[in-house]
Amino acid sequence: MMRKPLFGALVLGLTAQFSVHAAEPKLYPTGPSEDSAFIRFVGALDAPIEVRAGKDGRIELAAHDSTTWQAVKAHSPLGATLVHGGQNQAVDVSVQPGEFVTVAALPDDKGGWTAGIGRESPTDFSAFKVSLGLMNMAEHCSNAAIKIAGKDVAIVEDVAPKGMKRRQVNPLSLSVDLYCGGQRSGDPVNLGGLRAGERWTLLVHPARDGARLIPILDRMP
Amino acid sequence: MPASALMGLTLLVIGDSHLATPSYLIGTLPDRLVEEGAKVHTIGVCGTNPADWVKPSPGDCGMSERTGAETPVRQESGAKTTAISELIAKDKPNAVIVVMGDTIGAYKNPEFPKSWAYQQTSALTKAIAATGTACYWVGPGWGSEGSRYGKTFARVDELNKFLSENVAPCTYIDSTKMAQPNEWKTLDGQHYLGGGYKKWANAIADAIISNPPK
Repeated sequence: MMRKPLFGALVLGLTAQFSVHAAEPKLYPTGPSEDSAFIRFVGALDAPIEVRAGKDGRIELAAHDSTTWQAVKAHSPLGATLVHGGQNQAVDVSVQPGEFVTVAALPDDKGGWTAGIGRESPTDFSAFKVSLGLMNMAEHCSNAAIKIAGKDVAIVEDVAPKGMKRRQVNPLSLSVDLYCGGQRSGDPVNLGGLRAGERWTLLVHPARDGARLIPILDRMP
Repeated sequence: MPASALMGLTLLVIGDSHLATPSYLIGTLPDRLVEEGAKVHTIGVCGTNPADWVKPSPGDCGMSERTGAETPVRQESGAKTTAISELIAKDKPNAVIVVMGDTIGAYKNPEFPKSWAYQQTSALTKAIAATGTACYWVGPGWGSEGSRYGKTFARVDELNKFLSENVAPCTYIDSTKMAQPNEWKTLDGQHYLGGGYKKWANAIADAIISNPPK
């Protein structure tokens, strides 16, 4: 993982622009009046990208790297610009309470890149299980599925483009194959030894010859 | 008579308002733990959420601190948490006991804010786990319904289920297993009368004694 010093500046930028969810009520009765909202950025390209937000917020993400989840104010319009190879992609999103939004720089199937947005509102939090999510950002990958590598054992299946599904598994060492429309796509992806409490997002993105999978370990702020 | 499982152990107890007023749990739990032979340091900062103990954070309704079975010292203004890493480094406890749950119940919110609660609990359990210290997490008891805090038995049940699933590696102690709803009378729906705090303290101590830190 490559984390540049610019990360702090990005957080500050998001804070300034989006009023990051920092002021929780303190007095009894507490607990927020609505659930938290989170956003993160993923560089799914084979090269670094830059993320800019607000006046001075910017971060460089290494290839296949992601930021931690950042708490943001729900319902508010959030803007960011993804920069790579002299090309800018502006993104505007709003995050709902309880929602986790992933903004990714994705390769397209023509050798270029584009920005993608994935949303989920998970409820399967557990310190005893591993949560595996399949987030399909590949338009041409129908009925995305992941199976145990080399076996016809589905872990998550039938995820439509722009869709997302999660399931809990026990802690174990795992390699997975990606399937699109019933056909295996790409090489097996080794997730290593999964530990209890971890949450993973397996991001499906377009590639020149089909679709590929990038594993992202979800990290809370 | 065999020695207590807590004999010779050092215990650090942190939490919210239940430990922030001398006549509440901070007045009963340390007594029992000390009776069992433990060295105990207790700090309660009213209104704090779990993540407030990861780094120093203000509390808006006072705090109390107690060394062993000495008289608790109540502080009305300037209440502030101390980072759990700092407390652990200073006290070198065999175990941390977190008494917290009512502050994340969001009792007046029709939806339990799971994502926020997950962020709160995981922040504190990770900070404790990073030190390698054993820990227990004591969740909220039933209290009573219809109070100004909006506490309901259904939400207490939901909250306990959430905490039992999300505070590992801390050992979870479910306070709703210690009494029936309405059995321990409350002042205000959340905070118990003296008898309730005495029973709660004994039940917490018994739970730790039956599963002492390794």
